[in-house]
This record gives sequence, C-alpha cells and structure tokens, in this order.
Amino acid sequence: MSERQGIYRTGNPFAPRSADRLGGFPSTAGIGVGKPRRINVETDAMANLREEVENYFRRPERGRALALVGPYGAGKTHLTRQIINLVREQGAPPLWMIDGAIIDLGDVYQDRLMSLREDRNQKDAFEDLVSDYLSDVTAAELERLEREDSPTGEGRADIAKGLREREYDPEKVARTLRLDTELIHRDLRRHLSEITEHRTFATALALLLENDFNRIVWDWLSGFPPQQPLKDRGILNPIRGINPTFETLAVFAFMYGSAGKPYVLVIDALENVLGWPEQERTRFLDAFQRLVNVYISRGGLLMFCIPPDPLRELPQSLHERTLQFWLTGLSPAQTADLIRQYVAPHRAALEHRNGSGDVSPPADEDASAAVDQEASAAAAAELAPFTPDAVTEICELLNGNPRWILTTCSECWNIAEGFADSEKMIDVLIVHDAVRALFEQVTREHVVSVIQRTLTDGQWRTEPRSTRFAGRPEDVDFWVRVGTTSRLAIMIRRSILTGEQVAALERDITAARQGVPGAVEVLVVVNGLVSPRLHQQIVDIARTQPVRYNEQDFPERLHTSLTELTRRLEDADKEGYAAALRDRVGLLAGHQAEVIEQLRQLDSRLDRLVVRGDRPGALPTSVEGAELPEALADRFREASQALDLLSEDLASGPGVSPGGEEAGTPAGTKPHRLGFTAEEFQALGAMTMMRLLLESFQRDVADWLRTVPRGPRDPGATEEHWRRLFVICRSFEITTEVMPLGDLEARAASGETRPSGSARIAGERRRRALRRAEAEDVINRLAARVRKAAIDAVTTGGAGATGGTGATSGEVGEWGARSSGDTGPIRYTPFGSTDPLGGATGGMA
Amino acid sequence: MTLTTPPVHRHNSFAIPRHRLPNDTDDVKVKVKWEPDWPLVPWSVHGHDALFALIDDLEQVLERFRAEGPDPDNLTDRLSTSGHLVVVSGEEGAGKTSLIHYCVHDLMTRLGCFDDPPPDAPASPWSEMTLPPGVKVVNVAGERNDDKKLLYRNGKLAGIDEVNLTIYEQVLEILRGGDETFKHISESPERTDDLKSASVEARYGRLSDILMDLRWTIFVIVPNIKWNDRDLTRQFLRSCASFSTPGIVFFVESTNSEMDELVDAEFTESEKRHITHLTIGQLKEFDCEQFITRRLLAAEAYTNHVVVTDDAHLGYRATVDYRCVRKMQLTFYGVAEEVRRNGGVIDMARLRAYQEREQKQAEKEMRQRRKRRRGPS
Repeated sequence: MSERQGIYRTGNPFAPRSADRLGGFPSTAGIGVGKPRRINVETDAMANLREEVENYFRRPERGRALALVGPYGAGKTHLTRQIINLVREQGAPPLWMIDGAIIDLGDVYQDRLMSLREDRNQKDAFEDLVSDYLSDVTAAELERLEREDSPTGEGRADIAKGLREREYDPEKVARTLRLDTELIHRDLRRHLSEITEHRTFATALALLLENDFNRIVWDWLSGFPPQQPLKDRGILNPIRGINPTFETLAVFAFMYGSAGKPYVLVIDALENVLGWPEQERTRFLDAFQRLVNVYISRGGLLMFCIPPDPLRELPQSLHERTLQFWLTGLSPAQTADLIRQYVAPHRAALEHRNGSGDVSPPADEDASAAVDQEASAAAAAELAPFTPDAVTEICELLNGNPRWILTTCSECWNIAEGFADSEKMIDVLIVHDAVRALFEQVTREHVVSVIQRTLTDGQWRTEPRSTRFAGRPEDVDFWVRVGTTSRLAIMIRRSILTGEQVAALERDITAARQGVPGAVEVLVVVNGLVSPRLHQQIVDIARTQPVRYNEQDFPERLHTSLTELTRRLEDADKEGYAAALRDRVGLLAGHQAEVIEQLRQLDSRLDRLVVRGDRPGALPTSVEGAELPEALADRFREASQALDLLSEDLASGPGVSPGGEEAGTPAGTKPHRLGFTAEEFQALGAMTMMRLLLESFQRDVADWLRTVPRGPRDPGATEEHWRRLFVICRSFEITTEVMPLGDLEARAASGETRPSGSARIAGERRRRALRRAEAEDVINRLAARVRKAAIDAVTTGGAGATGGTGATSGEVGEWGARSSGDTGPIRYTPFGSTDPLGGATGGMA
Repeated sequence: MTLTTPPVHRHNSFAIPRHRLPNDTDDVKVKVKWEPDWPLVPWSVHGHDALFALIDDLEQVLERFRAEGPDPDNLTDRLSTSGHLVVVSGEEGAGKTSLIHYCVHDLMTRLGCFDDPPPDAPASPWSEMTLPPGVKVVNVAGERNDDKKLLYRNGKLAGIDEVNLTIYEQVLEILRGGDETFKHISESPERTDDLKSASVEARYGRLSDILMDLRWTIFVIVPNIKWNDRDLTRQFLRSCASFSTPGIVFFVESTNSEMDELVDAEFTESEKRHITHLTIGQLKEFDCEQFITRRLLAAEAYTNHVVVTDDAHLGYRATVDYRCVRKMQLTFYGVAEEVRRNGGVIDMARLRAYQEREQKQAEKEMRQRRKRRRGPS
C-alpha cells in the first residue's frame, strides 16, 4: 500500500465547509474532545492584533475598540478565538462574547452573555468588585464617624484604611462596629448610581451582597423577570431587548472600568445587524456606539468582527473610534503551511501504522545541492497528496481565503479518493475540478432564467439571438439592443481557470463583435470562478469586467453592469450620432439649395413670362408658323388681350413677384421662398395652359388654312376640310369650357374684396370686373368667331396674305351649320397635338 | 461594693434564663435554659423584670411610653378609632427587643393583667407568667425576633405585601391556637370571609371587630426588617400603622438611624397621636454599674453569683468600651464564665484582657473576606 493510499484511507482531514465560531461558554475541562488541535497560521494581522491586546493588558486603563475586518472566510472568527485565548491567559478578566448578533438580543443575553453567572470564579470576582465599592462606602462612613465622634478604642481610621486597601470585609466591619447597614446600603446605592449612571442597576447591585437578595439579583441580571422584592424596589422589567442588554454591558463596563480592572467584550459577525429591520438596526447601532464610547472611556477592550462592505455602513463616529485590523489572504507559503498542518496528523497516523518514522528520503549531507533538493522534496512530501503546484493554484484561485482554501482542499481530497488510480496526486487539474464542483452550484439554465428575468424586469430590449448573430448562436446567450445600432452581448460561461478558456472566450467575443453591425459591448457572466490570474486578460478582451453569478445579488449587479455598458455604448456612439446628424443636415441643406434653385428657375421663368406679356401666360404678339388672315388674326389678338386682362391680377399677386419681400427682410439680401399657394399655382397653370391652348388653336387654324386649296383652279375646301375646321374649333371650344377661367375671375374678385379706403378704387374695381366679363366672353366665343372668320377667309378669299379658298361661309356644307356629331371634336392640349375625344357633346354656338 | 465569692457557681451570674416549663417544678437546672444573650421578656418570665437594667435614658423612654404610648383605657374601647404603633429604634444590641417586651409588660401591668395572680401558684423564678385571657402577645418572629421567618414565603424571598400577609397569618394562627373561643368565632362562616378580605388592612379591621367583641387586646411584636430602601421602610411603617386598629398594638423595632425623620415625614400630626417612637441611645457613663447591680442582685436572689470588683463597675469607655448593652452582656457573661471555671473575681484586668482577645478575634474575622457562596438561606 502506498503512502497516499494510507492518507486517503485515514479519512478527509478537511472539514467540508469550515466555519469557526466563538461559542459562549468557556470550557477548560476539555472532556470528551481529546487533545485540542491547534491549527494556526501566523499572519501579520494576527501579530498586530495580538500586540494591541497585550498592550491593553499592560495598561488596561486605556480602553480601546478594535475592528477585525475581512471578507467572509478570511479567518476573523478564528483569529478572534486566538485573541480570546490570549485574553484568558491574562488572569481571566471578565469576558463577554456575542457569537453573531441576532435580533433577539434578550436570548443572546440570557443564554450566552450571562454565562458569567455560571462561571463561579467570574461570579465571585464580580461580587468582590461590588464588595470593593462597599468597602469604599463603609470606609467613608467610618471616616465620617471619626470626624463627628472620636471615641477611643475603636480604631476607625485604621479600619477605614484597611477597607480602602481591601484588607477588611466591609460587611463584617459594619457588623462588628454596629454600623447602620441601611445607611451604608443607601450610600452604596448612591455611589453605584454615580458609577453606573443607572439607578435600577445601582439598586440591584447594592442588594447583590445581601444574602437574602443575592440569588434574585443574579436571576434578574441573568435576564429573568424581577421577583417581587426587586419590584418593590423599583426594578420592574427584565433585561430584555437591545437597549437593556447594552445598558447591562455598559454597567459592567462602568463597574470594572471604575475599579481599573480589564474587561473584554467580543462580538462576532456584527454585520448581521445590518440585515435587521430599520428600527432595530438603528437602535442596535446607537446602543453599540454608546457602548464603544463607554469601553474606550472606561478602560475596556471591545473587539468586533465585520466584513469590509458592512463596515462602510457603520456610522462615521464608529470608524473614528475603532482601530481597524484588516485581514489579508494567505500567501502561497502560508497556504502550504495551513495544508501541511491539516495533513500532518494523518500522515503521522499513517507513519505510525506503517511503522515508519520518516516518510521523506534521507538527506545526503555531503552535497548541498542534493540537500536542497532533498529539502524541497521533503517539503513537497509534507504536502502530500497535494502537489506544490496544486497548493499554489489553490491559493491563487481562492485569493488566499482560508475557508475556501480548506473547503477546496476537502473537495480535492474527495475527488482524489474517487480515482481508481491509487497513486493519484492532487494536482492542478483536480483542483480545477474541485473548484468547478464548489463554485458552479447552479445550472446554466438557472442562470439563463435569472438573466432573462432581470432583463425583463429592467425592460431591456432583447433580441432573438439566432437572428441577430451570424456566428454560432449558442456563443451569445442574450442580445440587448441599445439605441439604433448598438448592442450588448451577454455570454454565460463556466469557471474560467485556464488560458485555453480565455482564448476560446476571445474567439467568441471577436465573432460576436464582427457578427453584427454597429457597436457591441460584451458582458461575460461567469457561473463559477474566474482565476484572478486570468481576470485581467478577460477584461482586456471583453473590455468589461466579468460578472460572477451568485444567489445573493446577481440580478442587481447584472442590471448595474448593463446600465453602465449601455451608458458606455451611448457615449461611444455620440460621435457616430454627430456624424449622422451632420450628414443629415448636409443632405437637408442640399435639398434646400436645390429647391431654392428650382424656385429661382421658376422665378426667372415667371420673369420671362412677365417680360413677354407682362403677365403670366401672355401670348407673343405673333405665333410663329401661325400666320393668319387679318380677320382671323384679329380674333386671336382679341382673345389674347382678353387673357391678358384676366391674368393681370395674377401677375401682380402677392409672392409671385421676384422682387417681393419677406417680412422685415430687405429684398435681395437673402434667398427667400416665394409664397405660392395651391390656388395660385392652379391659376397660373390654367392661365399658362390657356395661352398655350390659344397658340395651339391658332396654329391649327393656320395649318387648316394652308391645307385648303385656294387657287383659281383649285376645287376649294372639301367636306373633309370643313369637318376638320369644325373639329378644330369645337375642340377648342369644349376645352375652354373645362378650363378654370371662372376660378381666375373668382380669384381676381377676391383680391379686390380686400379692404380699401376710397371710392375711386371701388369704381376701378367695378370697371375691371366688367372688362373681365367681356374678356371671358371673348374667350368663350372665340371658337365660333374663328370658325366663321376661317370660312369667310376660304370662301371669300379673305385669307389675305395667306391666301384663301374662296368659299364663303354659306358654302361650308353641313359642317358649317351643325354641331359636332359623329366625328368627334378633339380636346386641345397645350402641347400642340390633339386627342380625338369620342362621344363629346355640346355644340359650337 | 465587694461581695464574697462562693466556691462553686452553678450558673453564670450574667446568663439569662430563657424560661421554665412547667411553672410548678423547682428543678431549675432542668427546666431553665441559660443563655449568654437573650431578650428579657418580663411579661412572660417571672424575674425578667428584675434583670432589666434601666441603662442609658430608658427611664425617660419608659416615661414617654407611658405618657404617649397606648392608653390602656382606650385599648378595648369600642369608640376608639385606632390602636397604636410603637416603633423602637436603636443600634444593633442596644436592647430594642427587651425594651419592647418591657413596654408590653408595663402596659399589661397597667391593664391589670397581673393584679390577680393565681393563689395556688406562687411566682417562682423564671417560671412562665400566666396572662389573663383578654390579652395576647403575638411575637411574629419568635422569641429571638428573627426576621427571616417573615422574609421568606414558600421558599422565596417575599415582597412587602407578602411580609405583611405573613405577619397577619401569624397573628391569626397564634390567636386561634391559644384560645378556643377566638378560634370558634374566627372560624365561623360569617367571620371566615371577613378575615380573608382582599387587603390585609381590611382583614385587620375585621380582626379588630372580633377583638372588640371579645374585649381583647393583642400586642404584635414585629422584628427589625432591614428593607434597605427608604421608601419601603416608610411603606412598611405606614402598613403597621394602618394595621394598628382598635385592640391591636404593633411594636416594631428598627436599626434604622433615620427613623425619627422617617416617622416625622410619613405621618400627620393626627396620625402621630397613635404612634410612639422610642429611641435607645448609646451607653452612658454609669450604665455599667447599673447593669452589674441589676444582674448581681438578681443572681444573688436566684443563683450563685460571681464577684465583681469596684473598678469593673466603672467600665464604660474610660476602661472598657462595651459599645452596647449586648456587648456588655456578652463581655460580662464571658468573663464570668472564666471566673466560674477558673475561680477568681471579675475585675478590670480580666475585663480588659477579655476585650482585647475579643478585639483581636474580631480584627481577624474582619480581615477574612467572606467567601461568596450565596444562595437562599
């Protein structure tokens, strides 16, 4: 059988979850526990604390409050036990211990704190303390009697001196000298009232030395309800609750402190108080604060244990009054020492069983190198079955936290025991397995559900991971949308203990960042432990701190992290937002310039129109290619003038003028938008359309005239020609019927309804209205008059310069008299072509 | 004064005979128990009145008692509204209990209790005196006046109300045990409920009614209870005063040096008419001679006696500081014991030597810090 097998077979020396506690009752007998194991690793904090405590006992009149600060499992309680042992070696001063403050301090007080009563020596010591005060009072009474009455033979002064030097029993002195004990009792009570600053306690303590009262006073001091004799004397309530308990501790402090004797109070796990309801917590902290002051001012030693975070929640005054001792993690050497001490008894048992006194090979004393090697091997052997690397890894992974170190060692031991290979050493791999087993206590599904719930509760904008990420969907567990383009990727990972795991994580993070557009921040949630050695690497890769899952405050921490990362993303996107905004503004500016340009073009076009006819839609005086006989030309000129008349109000309408001003802005000083309304656009369009229509009509008539053979030998206009003329004229006619010339009139009329102040203007308006009516009539009758003139021109040769067909209007056949019929007229378009309109109705007047 | 010394002393001349039962025997040796220190009970033991030395200013105290204390004529008067409370205060060993008994004896005398002694029973020394049926003395704490009997009730330290109740129950029990008539009346159905009223004060009222019906007077002697609390002391005094209903005289002793002030503060002038406070002061210059004379005369009459030289009579302070009558009693008893065993006379040298030994012993005891192993006694 190998040595390691032997060690494994002796059983796991490490407690599964090591946790120390102070315990309330000091036991010096040690019955049934065998020789106590004193495993201890000396640390700087311990040395400093020990020195401070020893200093206190050298000068107990200087009270102090010590705070032992360290994270959970750092060994605060263990260290406190060491200090308690040290205290007990200092003449067993009064020592009170609160092993974890619980809200029902009454129970703590009755069951634990007042173990003083159970300790006969402590009880006698306390009564002696009260007796000392009685001695002082009795001595004072003797001195008073000595001053007032000087009988010989009694030696009162000597006895008083003896009382003050604690050589006499004050009760016996009073009895022997027949002093008024009731008077002395009254003085004692008064004296104790001054010392304890508490009348009730003074009453009780003054009675403590009375045989008849001794037990009931102790009962009351132990937390029991006061018996009737005490109630008769004003002691009505038991010592229960926070304030009475602390008052009692303060009274003890006053009693011992005034006597110049050391006394100690130890409170473990003070942080428990911070989880209490507000009222109780406040009450406790206030009372505790007062007690600290009493201890410091009255020469007591008060020590309490608390983790760093809760320490910050304590009142500032406590910070100022307490001397803090911070526990740090064990170094690798201290870790090795700790493990060695745990393994040693089992190794010893093994050696005893194997009959071997030395498991390490004998050293070769001749060669120093060999000696060193042997020493190293021996040191390693003392750690067996742990390898030195495993010990270092344990220390590093657990930050030197003693509790976790021991717990991990226990788990390592259990894993190693399970190997079929009996030679299996506890190496780094086993350490990693143990760490995973210890720290990955919840399932991945549970972590996912907690994150999901947190995201839901925080109203985070999640996205389906499968559609968002081009890489492997399982690499990113949650996508959280931030803004329009940014995202948070949440990755859940098991413990990260090796460089390979970090490399894999880096690949996943890179893929996540590249897989989606926009900025991406990655939050790594670790369901387990992150090696402190690798932590910074992860931070460098992810650019975020990994968040470890725990059952306490993970949702809050996750929410905080997400909030912070969101803020970071938003900050990072600010530049992008600004650039996008600049682009957008630039685009809008371009659009605006374009619009302005178009307006300018339109403006210049209008200008041209105005120049040509001083009116929008004005016809040129002659239409190119549309030369007509004079009679016909007159008809068209009249029509053009009529249009001019109708559009003259438009030409001077508001906003249309290129030289118009905006309110308060001088013309031409800056680009300005012309003030067209939809109606104005419509009117302008209609007027322009009418001009074009008139031009087209004129060209068509001119073309028609040219097609009619009008020479002496020509046959003249045929039926087809007449029909064609009819179509042209009728088309113009029915087209103008649908033109909104009436709207022009209405608009012009509305423009004239603006307020005006003179009769002259009103008369002018009436005249203009009449002219507009005449003009409209000219337009309306234009088709008929043109047709007639055209017929005349053809039939009578009145075509003038353009020639004519010689036919008269009476010879135009049926087309000269009837309305458009089976051959439908065309609707004139302003584009110079005609569209045959089938089924047109109406006729040319 | 020099007396001859008899060769054999049968008893210590300064010992106090406790009692003798029955009173028809002459075998003093068997029936009398001699105590080095015991209260003198003149109303109970023949001859104790002769031992009572009017030391200090007890004569004036007694005169005050007779003048201001309970009036015998009113004690059984149905028209009276109150009984009487007598408070006797003084230092430890000042003779308070003896003074109370002497007062009771004096009151009984004035009541005529001893006017008609039984014709066939001559008063023999230390025999128990026969009291007439109309007068009862209730020594609630026993002959030694030990307050422990009152302080505990059902094994637990009692409060003031329980102490009062215990006293009442003691009174009732003694009255019922000593007289069939009273027992019969008090245990009748209509009286039983009365005597179990809610408050102790009411019970005393009912008891007073019975006593008036019977034309009885009772003297309740209450020991010194160290309340160690001014309020409680006042409260107790108030209780005793309220319990002193017609036919009932309470005698309360106390070592409280502030009793004068307490009584004065607690009671109105009207109430004080039913309250008498007697104070025993310290020994005076010639108290020692008074004491020795009384004791030796009594010893001469009833027992063998020792010789005390003249110088020993001077005693107080100039020679030996006896501090109090109890100390003087114990000192002379101790020296007389030496003389009785070894012969000789009681002189100053013996007294001084004795006291020096006592002082050394006391010094030694005072230097021994008491071991603190307390518990219920």
